[in-house]
Amino acid sequence: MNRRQLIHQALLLAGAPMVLNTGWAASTRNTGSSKKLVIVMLRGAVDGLSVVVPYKDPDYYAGRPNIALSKPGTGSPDSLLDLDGYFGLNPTLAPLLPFWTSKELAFVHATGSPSESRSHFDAQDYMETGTPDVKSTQDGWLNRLLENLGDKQSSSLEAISVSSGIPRILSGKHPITVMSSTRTAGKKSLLTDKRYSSVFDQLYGGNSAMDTAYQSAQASDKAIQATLSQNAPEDVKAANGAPSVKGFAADAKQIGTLMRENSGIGFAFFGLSGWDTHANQGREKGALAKSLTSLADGLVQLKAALGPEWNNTAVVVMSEFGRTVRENGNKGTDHGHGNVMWVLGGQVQGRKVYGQWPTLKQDKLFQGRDLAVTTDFRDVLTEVVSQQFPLNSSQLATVFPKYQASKKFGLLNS
Amino acid sequence: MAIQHAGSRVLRRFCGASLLLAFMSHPAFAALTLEQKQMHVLNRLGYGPSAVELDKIKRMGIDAYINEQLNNPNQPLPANLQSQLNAVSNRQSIQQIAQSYNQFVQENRANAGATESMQSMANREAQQKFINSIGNAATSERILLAAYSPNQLEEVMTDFWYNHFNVYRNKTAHSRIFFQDYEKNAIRPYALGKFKDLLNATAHHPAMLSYLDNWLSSTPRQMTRDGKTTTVGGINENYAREIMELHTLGVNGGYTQADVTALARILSGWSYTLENIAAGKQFTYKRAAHDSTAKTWLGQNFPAGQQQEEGERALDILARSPATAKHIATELAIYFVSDNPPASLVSKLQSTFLQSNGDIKQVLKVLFNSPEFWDQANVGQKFKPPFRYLVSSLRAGNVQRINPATVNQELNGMGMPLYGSVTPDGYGWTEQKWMSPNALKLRITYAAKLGNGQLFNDRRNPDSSIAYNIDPKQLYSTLSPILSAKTAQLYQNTSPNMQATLLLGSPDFMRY
Repeated sequence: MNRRQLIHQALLLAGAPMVLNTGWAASTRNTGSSKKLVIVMLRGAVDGLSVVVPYKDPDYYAGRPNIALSKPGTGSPDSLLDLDGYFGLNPTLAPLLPFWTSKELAFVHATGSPSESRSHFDAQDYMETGTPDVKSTQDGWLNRLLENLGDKQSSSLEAISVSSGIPRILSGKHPITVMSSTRTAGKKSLLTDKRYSSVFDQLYGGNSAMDTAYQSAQASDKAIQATLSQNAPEDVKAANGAPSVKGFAADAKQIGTLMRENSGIGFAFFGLSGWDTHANQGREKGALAKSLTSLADGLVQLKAALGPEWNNTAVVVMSEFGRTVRENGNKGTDHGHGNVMWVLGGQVQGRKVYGQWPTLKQDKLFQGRDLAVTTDFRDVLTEVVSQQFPLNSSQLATVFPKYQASKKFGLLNS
Repeated sequence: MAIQHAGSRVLRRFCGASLLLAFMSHPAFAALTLEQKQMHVLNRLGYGPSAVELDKIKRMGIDAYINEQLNNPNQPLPANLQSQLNAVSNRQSIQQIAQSYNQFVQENRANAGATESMQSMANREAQQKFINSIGNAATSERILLAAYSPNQLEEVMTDFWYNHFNVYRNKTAHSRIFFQDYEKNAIRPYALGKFKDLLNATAHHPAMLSYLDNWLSSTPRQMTRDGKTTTVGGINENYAREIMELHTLGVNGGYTQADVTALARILSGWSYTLENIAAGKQFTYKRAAHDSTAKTWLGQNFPAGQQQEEGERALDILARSPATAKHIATELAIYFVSDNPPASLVSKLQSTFLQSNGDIKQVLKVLFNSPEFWDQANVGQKFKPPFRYLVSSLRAGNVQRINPATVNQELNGMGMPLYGSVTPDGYGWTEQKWMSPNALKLRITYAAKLGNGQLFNDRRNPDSSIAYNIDPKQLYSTLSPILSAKTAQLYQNTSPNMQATLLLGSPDFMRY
């Protein structure tokens, strides 16, 4: 089957979601895998010490006289939800408790990058390229993963990013689909509007790289429309610039629906801003609580929309670095180092906080101020990625070059 | 994504002639028609043909046009451009900007006790407005100048050098308020000048010192307070690394980690303060922050106690290095000629750079006269980055008044916000970087809006809408030298209200 036939077939299938699960998947992802990966990047550095809180660590309360959350069971509204007798969950994340109880949510604490950078941009870049402290890396690890798994000849509708441009994590050779907002995703695209396509199909009807790109974009649009026209789009407030966590719930629902109906879509990326809490970050109320509420809501929506596909999906929530152990003069926290990573999904071995807790004792802190990193973020990603997808070691080495994962936690059922 | 090779439209159309001439010394030059040569010059020395510019190059001839672009980059701006610039420009000097900003900062400090008071909120809002106004003025000016300035080569080179010495606008509060001056006074005046002057100006500018953290870099010092001695400060390698890797020698330019550390020590103390800028002193050398001990850098001895002078000496060494010449030559060849530039061209440009002491005009003169520049295999083959695509469409469509904010929104959507490259390496200039299914979709969608005369319709505020009309016949005539037979034929068979959209969204117009 040549490329044109493939696209043609994809279009036919896209119009008939009932058979999509086998056809599109087989033709789009030559691995035949139906596994999915969703990455949620919290841009701006979430305060992980307020997400999974070490309430048994006395230095937590010592460093945060104004912003620490109360121990579990105190009855006050800022009381933590106990996780394991040492860590407690931020009460605004209560909607995620069912995930925890059913073992579909795990955390790995004290994770992060070996890079000492406290620049948002450098640190995000390093986390997205997968090459800490190497600035010259142009492409992202998720794109390199796609290069290893995807069918280069087919469609850009394998990975979706909700963002204005192509984020670094998905930059690279492999084509991807970008939606600046899912609000318009179900609406008619110019490429599928006959008035225009009758002309442009001819202009881009050949087999040059540009022609192929055009055809691929059109195929994605048709498939997306076929899915979303049956699932009325939410009315979302358009986020200016970088998508904010505020619109996450609606976006997550749309993307979850797309992934459920088009099994060729194996990857989604959300970059959510709204975490840089230098001042008045609050406890169970305030800036951080608001963002966490939206995040939890979105994750719940994502699971619901994915339906049976939740079992095939792994969701990783991460952030470029953590925040200072001690609060600053403005009841906020400044840029720190270690943080917590979240892993969710139907096959997660959850209800556990993984990782080695270094404690918040002064002599254990990174540069005397931050949670130390005891697990490299690439260890977590390597484990999730290689559990979800059949990669050999040389392929894995292209995803995270010059890195050998040293830990394996058993985060996912094999 | 594969790069389309020589089986180009141009080649196919002029197949017989080009094959015969392929063995002559300047084969491609001879094979291109006069119109195609004119088009090539307007495409590469500027942001593509406009009716005015096309007329000009036809009148002047190609050689005279190139000479004028190289030697007279101060042609007066047309009234249409000037009036639009007047509406958006920010004419504050860096000193005035620092003064205004300082006032906001001080007021914030005074308000710090009273959380969320009306006054502090109002001050913060005013501060944000002030910062935004600088950014909006800079983006609007750049877009307007690119679209309408007769000094097209200056625009193209300003874009090139800003990108080469990239400062991400939103890195810090200080980069937000100083990046505009950085372009205006550290980049633009030297765009066709000496490389050493560019390197110097960027190295002493607060925008760069802030962006790559050098202003914080200091030798570690012992401080004793309440009987406790602690170490404060430390060397920051960020700028020292990038100045060698990106600005001068190139990543394989033959330096080591020890050289990075040594250069960071040499440049320690190179800084600025808001107060000094407000008082008219842009650059501040902080003697106490400087590591005054002896260093060895790139095999050369830097004796102790040379202070700021050793940084100046280092810049001089970097500017004269053959590795720098090769790095710049390669970048220019990619920018002006091909994603895979011929080694023959790079070496010619490198030696001109060295012989002329980094005279950019001399290097460009050699480039524009080279057979590689005129080689048919390199004509019309580059994929337009978003900025070039958008600006070239406004020029080709002869749109006389624009809303630069709308253009900037399109740029954001296409992933190339002006001054928005987060990383110090700037944006790339190659097809691999910019061609994607999404890119084509966005461009065709944009071409429809532009072609239908609706790009500057403002639904929320109809009074600020800008009406214009693209004449498809004129657009066709402007673009005809680059149109394939297929595009030309489709154009003839399409209804007039679709013709402009067809041409602006065609594969032919994606390349230059």
